[in-house]
Amino acid sequence: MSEPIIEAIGLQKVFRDFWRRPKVKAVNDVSFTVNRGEVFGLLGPNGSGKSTTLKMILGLLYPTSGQLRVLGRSPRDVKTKARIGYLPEESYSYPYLTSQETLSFYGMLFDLPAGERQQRTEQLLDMIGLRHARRRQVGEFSKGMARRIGLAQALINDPDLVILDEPTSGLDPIGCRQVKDLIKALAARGKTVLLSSHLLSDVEDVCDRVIILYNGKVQALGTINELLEQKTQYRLTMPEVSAEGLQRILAAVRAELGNEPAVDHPRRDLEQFFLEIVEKARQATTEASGVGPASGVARYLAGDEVLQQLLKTPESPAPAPLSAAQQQAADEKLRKLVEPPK
Amino acid sequence: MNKVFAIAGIAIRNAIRSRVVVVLLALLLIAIVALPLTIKGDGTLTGAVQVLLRYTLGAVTMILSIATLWAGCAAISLEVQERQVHLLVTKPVFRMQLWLGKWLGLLILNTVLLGLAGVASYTLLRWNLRQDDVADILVARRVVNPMPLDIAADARQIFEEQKRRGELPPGPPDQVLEAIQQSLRQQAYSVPSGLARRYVFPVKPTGVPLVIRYKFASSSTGKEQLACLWIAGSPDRADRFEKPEYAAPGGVHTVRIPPAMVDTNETLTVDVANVHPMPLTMVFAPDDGVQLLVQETSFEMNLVRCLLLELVKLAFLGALAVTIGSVFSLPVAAVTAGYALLLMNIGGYLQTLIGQKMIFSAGAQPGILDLLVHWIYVILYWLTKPFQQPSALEPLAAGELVSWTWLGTIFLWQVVVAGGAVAAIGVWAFNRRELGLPE
Ligand SMILES: Nc1ncnc2c1ncn2[C@@H]1O[C@H](COP(=O)(O)OP(=O)(O)OP(=O)(O)O)[C@@H](O)[C@H]1O
Ligand SMILES: [Mg+2]
Repeated sequence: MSEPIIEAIGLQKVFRDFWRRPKVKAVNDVSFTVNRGEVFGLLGPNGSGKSTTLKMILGLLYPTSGQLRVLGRSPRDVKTKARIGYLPEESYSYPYLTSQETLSFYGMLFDLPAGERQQRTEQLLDMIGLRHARRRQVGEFSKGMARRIGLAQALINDPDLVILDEPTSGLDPIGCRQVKDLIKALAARGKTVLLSSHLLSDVEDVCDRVIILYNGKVQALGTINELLEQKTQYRLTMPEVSAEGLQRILAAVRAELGNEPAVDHPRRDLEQFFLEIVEKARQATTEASGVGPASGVARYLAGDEVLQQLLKTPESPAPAPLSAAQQQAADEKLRKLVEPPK
Repeated sequence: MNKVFAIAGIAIRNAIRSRVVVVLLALLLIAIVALPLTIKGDGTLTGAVQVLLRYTLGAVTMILSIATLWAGCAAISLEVQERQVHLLVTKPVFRMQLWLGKWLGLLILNTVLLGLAGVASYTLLRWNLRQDDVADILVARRVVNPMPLDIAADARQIFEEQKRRGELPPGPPDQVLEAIQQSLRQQAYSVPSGLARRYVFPVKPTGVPLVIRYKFASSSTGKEQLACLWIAGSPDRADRFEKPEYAAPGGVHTVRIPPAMVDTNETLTVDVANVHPMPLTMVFAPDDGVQLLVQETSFEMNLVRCLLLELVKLAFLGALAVTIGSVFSLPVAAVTAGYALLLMNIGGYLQTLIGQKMIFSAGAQPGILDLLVHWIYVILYWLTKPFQQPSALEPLAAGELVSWTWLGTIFLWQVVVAGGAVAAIGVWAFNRRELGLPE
């Protein structure tokens, strides 16, 4: 399990101007190791060197100094590319090709036999929900649709190492959810995933370990829990209690701590809420112009049937969402309840 | 290899769907249909054929050359600029495969377009000449030059003879010999009235039609026609072929010779007698005054070879452009390629520049700067010399053979040697490029 897939030691990238004078130190002394089966996240604000690091791993940029080995070889080795899938920051596909042709073309670059290529293309188009647009030219796609094509082409070779540069950017929440499910499915099959993002929730949901970059330097590295757990605080979640019951509990806490604890209603997150709404709307209509109903994960990616099943079962059914007014009323009631006695 | 074809296929599909191909086809059609309408020939049938073939096909190859240069420059540089190349080099694709794919795509497009243009102009040519007798014009004949005269030996003989008789003119012997040679050479190509001159051509007895093509100047300044008699066949034959002609000086004339006149020793003897009643001399040009044309293949076959030859040149241009485009960004690449094309087409001018050694200094001795510039010109000249091939359209239009040997030589030079070198340079430079960097 600890076979290193990517090893970076003292990685540095200096961009130079035309006269070869150093201009920007985009990556500065970055060291990390990504092991097989891990989902590894590069986190950092805009311009912190995430894409630069990924491009060095892909052999698109050459490190100024430091050591870098990918799948045991130099990142510039052409043969190891057969085991890598890459989703770039923006979509760089050929505008005049249809989505089907695009996927088939990239399949050819991996020497996939025609039958296999066609099968995977079909499954990927189903997975990204663009089956209905398979004969449309990619040039006329919306940003999110183009991103989906980019994601599909990164997976056409069933790669061992998947490198995703901001995989959820430009995607709607369903797409985001799907990408996250996909990443989990890939990891479950022992694939290694390296992704970059500045969306914290993405990283939090899927990554085993993250590295936080700022100004090209590593600021923190570790598992999500290690980094996020606040060991000095506790959170208590309870079923509904009567007003008097809550007052008594709060009084006890006040007596223990000597100051006021924070109390609120837990909320479902907005992502979950959105997904439910769209699911309902989808059941009501059949015609789709943008992204159609997407099916879990392409069969050849998911591996066995059991896993496929697992991915398809929806999360535990949530209670019907409250309207905004109802929610507000509930919040108001709670505020009154927890108000400390005057 | 599959990957190379896949990349070529994408290039072709892009060209078709972005309507580049349609525009090119329209341009070619305009060249083929409209050009002959706007250019007037000299009124003769030969002139009409010249216009239809040389100008239209010349325009076609020029349009394709420029399009090839542009598309070749754009092939890789645009992909780098638009970063589509990021998705190619992160796949198991060698940069050589990428280079080859782009080049192959261009070659296939060129083949199709040139083929279509060839068919179109041939159809138009046939249609235009549908009422004319083109048996003598739409031909493909090999040009055979007469066996050279052994003037040196003759001169030596005369020299010895005069010396023996003590009639040698005064002066150093080698200058005297040179003077004798000079006058012999002049005599050899001039036929005064009442005299004849013999040409012997090496030719195999194959039974194919033979034609003598001749042109001459008259010792008279007028344009009056001269009477001459052409006699073919070995002198000891009883059935020699004779044909009296009445020909104007300055023009190009032909005489058909029956194939049976070829001798068993694989030669054809042709005598030309000046039988003009007035004392006028016919002077034949030394290099192409009298030539034998031997039917070699059909005109159509010749057209195909000529188009193949142009395709070979386009293949080289494509290689050059793809290489330039894999090193530079599009604007720089286009300028560089244009400059290269210019150099390839000004060989004659470069030669003149090399001839005049002094450009900057007025003194007797060329200065350092002069020498430097001189050597730059020399290098440029030699670099571009292999590409300064005469166009195959001229012999095609003149009914002369475009030989496989010529085609083979150009193929070897431009595609195998020069194309290979250009490809190697391109792939090497492309391999060193850090494609993640913006332009
Ligand atoms: N080709 C280049 N030439 C010069 N500077 C560059 C180049 N590419 C990136 N940089 C600089 O390197 C730094 C890191 O850029 P990078 O693209 O890696 O950031 P990022 O973390 O991916 O940001 P984002 O979240 O916006 O995608 C930035 O300061 C950027 O300006
Ligand atoms: Mg980035």
